[in-house]
Amino acid sequence: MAWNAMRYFSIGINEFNVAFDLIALLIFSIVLIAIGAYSFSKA
Amino acid sequence: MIGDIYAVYLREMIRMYRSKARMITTIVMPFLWLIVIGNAFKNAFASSMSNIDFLSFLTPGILVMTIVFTSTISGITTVFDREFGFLKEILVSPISRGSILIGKMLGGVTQAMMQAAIILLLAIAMGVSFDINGIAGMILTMFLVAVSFVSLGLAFASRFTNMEGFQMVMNFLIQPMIFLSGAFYPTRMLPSWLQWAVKLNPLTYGVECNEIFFHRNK
Repeated sequence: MAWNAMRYFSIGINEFNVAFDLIALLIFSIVLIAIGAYSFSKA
Repeated sequence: MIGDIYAVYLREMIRMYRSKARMITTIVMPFLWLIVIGNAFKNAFASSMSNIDFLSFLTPGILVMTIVFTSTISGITTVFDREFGFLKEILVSPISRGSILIGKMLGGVTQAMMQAAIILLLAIAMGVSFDINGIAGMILTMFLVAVSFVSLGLAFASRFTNMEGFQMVMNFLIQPMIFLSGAFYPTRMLPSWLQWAVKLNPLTYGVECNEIFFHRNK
């Protein structure tokens, strides 16, 4: 319920959604950068 | 170190400039999506989006798609370098691996952002409007998506020895991510068993953020 309330698709737009999405995106970015850097260091 | 990064970055940019076919296809494909899908599904989605037209809904997703394709494809230069022995030469040079990595990443990110800017201008020419106050947020979102997918492209490119294998695997990986990101339709239209894939997909957050910044005042 909380998840759905929080993440209900964007066009309704609230600022909390943006913060949540940006933090999620940032976490994914850090993980993917780490994977990329690790793989490249082993190239 | 800055000089080393700049040398690698400059090489990536020169390669992009010289590879006209790559540059054109990565722009034409998203533009075709915008024209064909945007017009074909305009009426089908009209009832589910009361406050926004489908072309405006589609544009931020197409921008993210452009970023993703260009970012991952930029990894192909690493496979190319390996195939022709340049990677070995640059790895034994006095430049650190970190500088090579950052230079390649910045090159890929710049190319992706430039292509997204071109798609945005084409969308505006087609009559799509967006909130100018959200531009900083859009740039931040697209930058994060570009960095993520350039890294992913480099991760795979570091393991592959031929270009065909790299392209096939990247397409196999990227296309489901794009279709499950909500770039072309609201993700709430998907069945509940696919919602977990949507939530675990990093692109969902990028597309949604971009949509929010794009339509801020609508």
